[in-house]
Amino acid sequence: MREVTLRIDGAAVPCAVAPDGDGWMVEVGGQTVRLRVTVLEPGVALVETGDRSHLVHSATASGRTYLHVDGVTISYEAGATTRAADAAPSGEDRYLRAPMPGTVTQVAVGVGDVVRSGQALVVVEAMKMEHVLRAGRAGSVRVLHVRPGDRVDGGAVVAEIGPVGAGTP
Amino acid sequence: MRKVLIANRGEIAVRIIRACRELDLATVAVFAEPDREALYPRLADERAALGAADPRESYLHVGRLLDAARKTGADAVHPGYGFLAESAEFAAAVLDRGLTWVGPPPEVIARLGDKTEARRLAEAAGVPVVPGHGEPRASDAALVRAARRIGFPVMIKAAGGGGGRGMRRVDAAEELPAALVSARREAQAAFGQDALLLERHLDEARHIEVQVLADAAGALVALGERECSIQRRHQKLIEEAPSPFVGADLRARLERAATTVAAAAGYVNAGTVEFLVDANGQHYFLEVNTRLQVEHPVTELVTGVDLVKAQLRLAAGSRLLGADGILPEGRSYAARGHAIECRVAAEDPAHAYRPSPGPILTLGEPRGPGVRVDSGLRAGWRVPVEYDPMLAKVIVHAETRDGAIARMADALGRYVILGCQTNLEFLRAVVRHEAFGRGETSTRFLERHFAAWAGGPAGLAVATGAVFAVLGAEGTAGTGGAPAPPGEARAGAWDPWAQLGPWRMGAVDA
Repeated sequence: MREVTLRIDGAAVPCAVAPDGDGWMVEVGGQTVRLRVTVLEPGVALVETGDRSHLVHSATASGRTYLHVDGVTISYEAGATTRAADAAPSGEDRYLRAPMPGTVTQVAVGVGDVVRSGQALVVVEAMKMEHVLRAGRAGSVRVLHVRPGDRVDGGAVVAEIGPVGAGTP
Repeated sequence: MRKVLIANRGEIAVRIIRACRELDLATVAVFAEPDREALYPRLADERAALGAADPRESYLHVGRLLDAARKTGADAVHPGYGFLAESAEFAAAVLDRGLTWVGPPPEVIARLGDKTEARRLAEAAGVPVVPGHGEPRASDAALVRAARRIGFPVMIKAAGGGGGRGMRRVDAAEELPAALVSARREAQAAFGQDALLLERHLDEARHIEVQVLADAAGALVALGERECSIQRRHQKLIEEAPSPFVGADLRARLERAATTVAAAAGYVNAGTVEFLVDANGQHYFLEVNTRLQVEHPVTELVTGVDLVKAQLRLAAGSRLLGADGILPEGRSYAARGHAIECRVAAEDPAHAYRPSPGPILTLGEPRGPGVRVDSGLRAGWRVPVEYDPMLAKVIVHAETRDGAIARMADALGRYVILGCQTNLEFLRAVVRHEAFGRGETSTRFLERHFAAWAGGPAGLAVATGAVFAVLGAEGTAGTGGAPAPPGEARAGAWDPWAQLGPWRMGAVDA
């Protein structure tokens, strides 16, 4: 279970998201929505709910995401996601964690590489789904704990990012 | 006539360019700075810059428009709607340069453009007008006396023009003096004259108009009615043809009244005669629009007549009737099926329809049987703040009104505009409303059923956004708020799709 807050029209909308079979279960506003997501191409995905399918279009500019599904368009800024049980302590953004148990399929950087905030570093596969882990801050890669093929636990630290220059071999 | 300058912008410029193409006429687009990258200049054969964003420096600047015509060798001017479309001075200036004006003669525009004059003309021709006071240059005292005579509520209107400016509904005598002052001020600012007229306010009225075509030889044909009752701020939002309220008898009366007024005015080219129709089916002349209407496509779909091509051909001297005429079916145009138009605007219906300009990051326009989209949009363009918020029109045609409503709801649901807030969801809610389905359209429809509308359920959209946010994960959102140019929007740091590249959840064939 992970919690995420979407800021829509100035209001904070808290959502709880959990894996559910090969899809997701989302609790929002007292409702539970079950959906499966299939990416068809950049900006277009198929969302399945029960026996209905919906095309989803999405685009992002200036940190705001615009999403259209089934005649409804919303725009939101996503707050930092937190695990329900342990909110990230200060400085947590230096740690790159696996969000769920899985297998590392790609490591896109090496120790000492300078990375920007949001850059894709590691890909973890879990439940037939691949999850791109991105740098939570700009800096340089200080430690890499995983290699492709490694199994990781949910919440495990896979990499650490430090200030540029520090810890670089 | 070989080359047409289109003195307009947006979706109507696109529409006119396409009609010119079909007639093998070359086109010249004119643009103010914010429209340099818009869709329509790209579609024209030539384009000419007008200048700054302010309409007075561009689309309303007669000298610059005529210069553009001279430099490009255009020999005709189509004014579209809005801007200078109903300016008798512009029409006269175009004709003075030896160019063809795609519209009625300037003296007809002037006669009908003054609402007081148009009202007197209709009255003199025996067409009923809304009870009221329409003396030219009526004083406040005369208007107050007239209001007392006809009874409240009353409508004050600017004699010099429409679009809701200078228009006030007044419910009680003590409110009238202040309303007259503010309406005069608004009318002066909008139209350069503060003349007002006053009419009884018709509650539960429908706004129904008749399309007419007239040639220079005096042939005059009415092409049925459009109902345009769904309005906000006295501006139309949804139009349809035929009207669910109009039967054969009322249609015949409206068409007769429309052609009577048009004939009395010496009308030539395409025009629209507007009426209010009360709950008893009594019709009252309102005004004549001496130009192409925004909502012309609903008439095109049910009659099969291309009104823009008709305008161009009439301007070039073609006849309406006869073997080479514009109307091969002669005078009888029974509507086939039902057509509805929705105006898509960059505005926020949940917040008093406030304009919401912005970039077009993603654009997906609906297509399919009976679905037409007249659009001025292009992905990568930014909707400017300076002009009308209307972006596009969705027009559908089906065998029945119910079929048209279902088709419209589906088409609106498939219209994807990301980056710039629009009224698409609102329009969909309106056409799906049961009162709309029953044809209970009146000018108070939105006020009655949608005054407190704040958006429909967005559960699926929010849930999907939440999943994307989790996939984005670990506070990686954003690039620090640096604005990304529209063309690079998808390369933004927190694009769920960019991140989702490697994701495959429940593959389609699973």
